[in-house]
Amino acid sequence: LGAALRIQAAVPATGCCVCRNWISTTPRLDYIQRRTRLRVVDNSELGRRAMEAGKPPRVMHVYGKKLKAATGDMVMVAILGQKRRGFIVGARRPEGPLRPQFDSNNLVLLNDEGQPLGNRILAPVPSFLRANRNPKLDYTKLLAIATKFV
Amino acid sequence: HPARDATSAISSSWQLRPVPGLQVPLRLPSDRRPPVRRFACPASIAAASAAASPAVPPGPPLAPAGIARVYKPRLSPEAMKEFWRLSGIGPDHSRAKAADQQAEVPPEIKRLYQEALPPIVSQDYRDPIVESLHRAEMMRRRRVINIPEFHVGSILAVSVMDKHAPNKVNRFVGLCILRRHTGLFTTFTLRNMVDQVCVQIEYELYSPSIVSIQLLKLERRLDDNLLYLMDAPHSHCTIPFDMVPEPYSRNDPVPVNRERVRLNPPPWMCKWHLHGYQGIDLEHLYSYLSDKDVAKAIEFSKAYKRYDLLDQYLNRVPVPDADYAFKDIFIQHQELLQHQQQQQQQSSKKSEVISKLTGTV
Repeated sequence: LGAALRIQAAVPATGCCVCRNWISTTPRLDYIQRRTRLRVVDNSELGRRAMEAGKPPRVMHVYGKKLKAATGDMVMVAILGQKRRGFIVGARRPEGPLRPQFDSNNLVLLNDEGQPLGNRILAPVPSFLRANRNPKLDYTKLLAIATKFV
Repeated sequence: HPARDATSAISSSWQLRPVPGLQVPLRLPSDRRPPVRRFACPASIAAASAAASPAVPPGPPLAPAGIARVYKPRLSPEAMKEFWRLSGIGPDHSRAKAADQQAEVPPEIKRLYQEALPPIVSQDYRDPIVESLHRAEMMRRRRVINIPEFHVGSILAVSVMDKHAPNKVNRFVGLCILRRHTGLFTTFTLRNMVDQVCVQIEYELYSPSIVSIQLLKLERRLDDNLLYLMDAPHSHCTIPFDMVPEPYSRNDPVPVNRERVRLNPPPWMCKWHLHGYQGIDLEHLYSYLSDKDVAKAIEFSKAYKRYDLLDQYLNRVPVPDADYAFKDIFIQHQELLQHQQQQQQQSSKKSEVISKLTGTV
C-alpha cells in the first residue's frame, strides 16, 4: 500500500511536532519537488488524457533556482512522454494565514511561450496569485481563464 | 521547546476523561520553581554590590540632557495613563485589583473567550504582562468587529480585505475544523468544498484584515479538531456559500453533533486510529486495518495516559491563572458592553436627527 511507503504521522498543519506522543511524528511529506505527481486542473486535452489514463504529470524541474515548488511557481513536468511547462495553482502544503490550502497539488499546463494550453481552470485559484509576482512568468492569461478565486 | 496550548494536541478528549477514583492534584503556579524574572537581582548580590561600590544617591539616570530628551516617551502623561488603564498594567493596577476582588465569572465568558486562557507552557516561557496586554488588545479589537462564539464543528462565514477582489472583500464559508493558539494569535481553520475541490483556509481571529466573522451554525463535535475530514467523503464538509444563518440562544448549551464519520479507504494522511478521535466510526476504521494495527490502536485507546497524572498535571493551565485571566476578561467584557450600548445610543440619536432634518419618520 502507498501508506507503507510514506509514513505520515499526525501533526498540526504547520508541522510543529507534538513532543510527548509516543508515536513517530515525522512531518507531512507535502513539498512539491522533482518526482512529485500533480493534478491537472485545466480542460486541456493533454491534461485530460493524462489524468484519465492514471498517469499524472511528474515534476522534472522547478524554475527559479530552488528545489521546492509552491503555489505560484512554474515547473517543468513529464506528462505522457512529453515535457511541458506548468504553473502550480494550489498546494497541499499550508502557506500561512489567509492563504488557502488544497487537498491536492493542482497544476495548469502551459506551452513554451507560457500561455495556458486549456481555456478554463476547473479548480478554485488562490486570490493572492492575482498579484502576478512570478519573475519568470507573466500569467495574466492564466488568471483570465480561472473560474473561481478563493 | 515549542509553546503548546490546549488545542495543539491532536485530540485530547480522551485524555481528560475522568478516571473514577483518581484525583489529579490541583496545579498551582507555586508548585513549579519560581519563574525567572529578567533583570531581577537577588537581594544578596544587590547588597554585596552596594557594599562594594560607593554610595550613589538614587535619582534620575546619569545621562546627558540631550539623550534624556530623545528617549523620553512621546506620549503625554494622560495618554500613558489611559494606555495603562486599558492594558491593565502600570502603577495603578486598578483592574488587577478589581479582578482579584471579582467573584466567580459567568460560564458564558468561558465560552466566548476561550482564547483568553494562558498557554500551557513551562513557567519560564510565560509572561503575565504579555498575557495582560494580549487580553487588552483582544478586547480593543472586539470593539471594532463582532467576534461570535464558535467551536470546532461550527460553520462560519469570514470576509477579509483583498485588494485584488472586485469588491475589495473576499468571502469564504466553511466548517471550522481547528482552533489553535491563545491570546492575540488565535487562529481557526475553515474547510469547504469549492468546485469539487476541498479548500482549507486558516484565519487569525484578531487580524485587522478581517472585515467580518459571521456565525452561520453554532455546533460542537466530539473532538478538538476535525483534521480527519481530509480523509473522509467530501459530503461531510460541503457547505453552501449562500447558507442562511441559523438562530441560536446564548443561554442554551452548545449543541453537540455526535456524528461518527466513516473515512475513505486508506492510504490516509495520518494514522487516525492512534489519536483517540471519538468522531470517527471506529468499527469501520478498524475494518481497514491489519490485526496488528487494530491491537495497537486498542492498546493506545486503553489510555495509560488517563492514569498519567504528571501528563495531565503538566497539560493544564494553573487554576489561579485561568481564573485571573477570565476575571480580567470579564471586567473588560462589561466595559465592551457599555461601549456598544453607547454606540447604539449615538447611532439612534443620529438617525433621529437625520429623520427630523429630512422630514422622514
